[in-house]
Amino acid sequence: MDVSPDRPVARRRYERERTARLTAEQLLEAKSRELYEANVRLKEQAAALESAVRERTAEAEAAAEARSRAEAASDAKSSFLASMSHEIRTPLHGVLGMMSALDSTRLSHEQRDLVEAMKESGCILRTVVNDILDISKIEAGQLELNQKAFYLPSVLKSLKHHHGLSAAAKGLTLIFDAEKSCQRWILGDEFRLRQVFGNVLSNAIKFTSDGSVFLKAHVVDEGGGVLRLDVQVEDTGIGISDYAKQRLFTPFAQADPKIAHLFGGSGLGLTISRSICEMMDGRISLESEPGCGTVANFQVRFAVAEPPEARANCADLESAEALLRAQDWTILVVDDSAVNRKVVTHFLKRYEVTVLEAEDGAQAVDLWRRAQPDFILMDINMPVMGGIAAALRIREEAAESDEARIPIVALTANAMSHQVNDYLEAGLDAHIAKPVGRAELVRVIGSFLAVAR
Amino acid sequence: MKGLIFVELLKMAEKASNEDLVDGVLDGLELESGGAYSAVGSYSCSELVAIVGGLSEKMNAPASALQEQFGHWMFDHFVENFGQFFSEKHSAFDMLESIDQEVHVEVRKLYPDAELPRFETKRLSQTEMTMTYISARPLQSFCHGLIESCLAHYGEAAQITIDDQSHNEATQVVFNISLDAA
Repeated sequence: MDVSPDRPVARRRYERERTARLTAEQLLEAKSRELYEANVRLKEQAAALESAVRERTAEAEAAAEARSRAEAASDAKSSFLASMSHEIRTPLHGVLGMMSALDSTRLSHEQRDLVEAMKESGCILRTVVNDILDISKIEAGQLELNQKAFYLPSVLKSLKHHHGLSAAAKGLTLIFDAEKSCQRWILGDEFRLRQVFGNVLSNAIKFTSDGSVFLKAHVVDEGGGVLRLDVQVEDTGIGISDYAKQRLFTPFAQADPKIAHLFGGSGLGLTISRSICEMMDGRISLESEPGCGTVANFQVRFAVAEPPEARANCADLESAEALLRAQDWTILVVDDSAVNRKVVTHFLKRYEVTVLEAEDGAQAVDLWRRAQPDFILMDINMPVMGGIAAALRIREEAAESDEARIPIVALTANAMSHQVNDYLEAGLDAHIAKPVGRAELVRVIGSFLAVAR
Repeated sequence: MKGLIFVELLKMAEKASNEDLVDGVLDGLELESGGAYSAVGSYSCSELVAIVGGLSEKMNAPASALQEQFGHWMFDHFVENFGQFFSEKHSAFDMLESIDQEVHVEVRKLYPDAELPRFETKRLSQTEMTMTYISARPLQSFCHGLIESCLAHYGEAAQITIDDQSHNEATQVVFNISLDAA
């Protein structure tokens, strides 16, 4: 076969080749264009993605910045509130403390009258300041509730005692009707609960000129570890006008400007109480007709708490002793008998703990304020101020500040069952009968200190 | 230079003469490509110049005239295959102005390394413009032919004067186009 480059080729063959080639060229052009367009689309997609990523990043950054600004603002608010609170309370505390000190010195009648007037103003000022600080906290969303165990009857007893005095001063009768269901240990913020009680009771007393103030309380177990406290305070006072009813819970809107002038007060009490009740998953309301007295109702919820006395006998001597030795504990022994005090001090000497002694309830309270002991052994029958009153006072004062509950154990000559109730109501955690041996004393102290840690 | 140009040139030459003459020209030249041109390929511009020369000799026509004729031929090819460019423009001036900014931009999309001449246009008045052809290749007569066909396509009569400003290896020719009074 002659295949030299000069051999002629049939036209038809040539045309076939040409057609094939031209087809190939067209295909190539088409494919090139497709490829180009696909590339363009991909580039657009990539650009769109990049742009979306940039946007998201910017949004995320802006959100993070906004959040950190908000957090900074919140921090600034908290620390402002905290330091403002401190700055105001400290000198106020100083003034009131000095007035108390002045009151306990020898004064002439005239001077005593002046000091009384000062004390009254001071107390009102303290209330107003506390209310304002509380409202600021509430509005900044910074009011927090503590969760600590307390004995409800103890709270009621001290409220009755405290408000009974102001009621008696006005010739009013203050009656407390607390059902047996109230005899429980409760987990919650004792201080804030006292605040609500105090607000409602002091309003009732303030706006009643004669007759009585009647408090009813009971506790309902709602199941699931939740207790509901229902309280009703009824008075025979002047009642609340329609105008006032609308503005009851509004801050600074005293029921009636005339009343504000007459009765004083910060005008914040009910607002704060409502916030507290709501934070405790409850509510508060008032019903009244002018001239027909007022009925205040509030409900709050708490968790069930385990009574501390259940733990009184848990420790064995060896671990209790080890615990006592582990730290330089401060133990306050209160007893009017010097001999009894000496005995206890002697028992505890070998553990190298600090033992403070007080010979009556008043000294005990004073030492407690100053030395902050870890444990108090309290005799009941003492002159000047007995163990029950001292315990009541200590619990009341402790509730105002954020302190841990200090174990107070009664050392009693009598331990009859109705008296045990009295001790618990007063805020005592347990009782030991006299005479007490070293081993038992150490075990009891050890059990309470173990929990305190 | 794009193979398309070579393919069309040979087509035109074949139509104006015959296959054998064109074969003869190609056989007689020393072409790197061997005279085998695909429309989608790229070949050396010098080969085009050589073919134009060879055709001019065999057809007894001056190279510049051949280029002009080719310019007309290519314009018609463009109109037939890329009509959308022309229908968007409504005058010769508009069309000529768009070559550099639009037409060549499209070409480079698919053929990024295409060697294309540069055109600088300047309108002097409603009826007068200059178009400067800048290239490494001496194809100003081809360009002249394209311009003539463009004017004819839009039905505009005009006078074209040429100012050759070429120097060294670079071609730079200014076409002054003056439309006849309507």
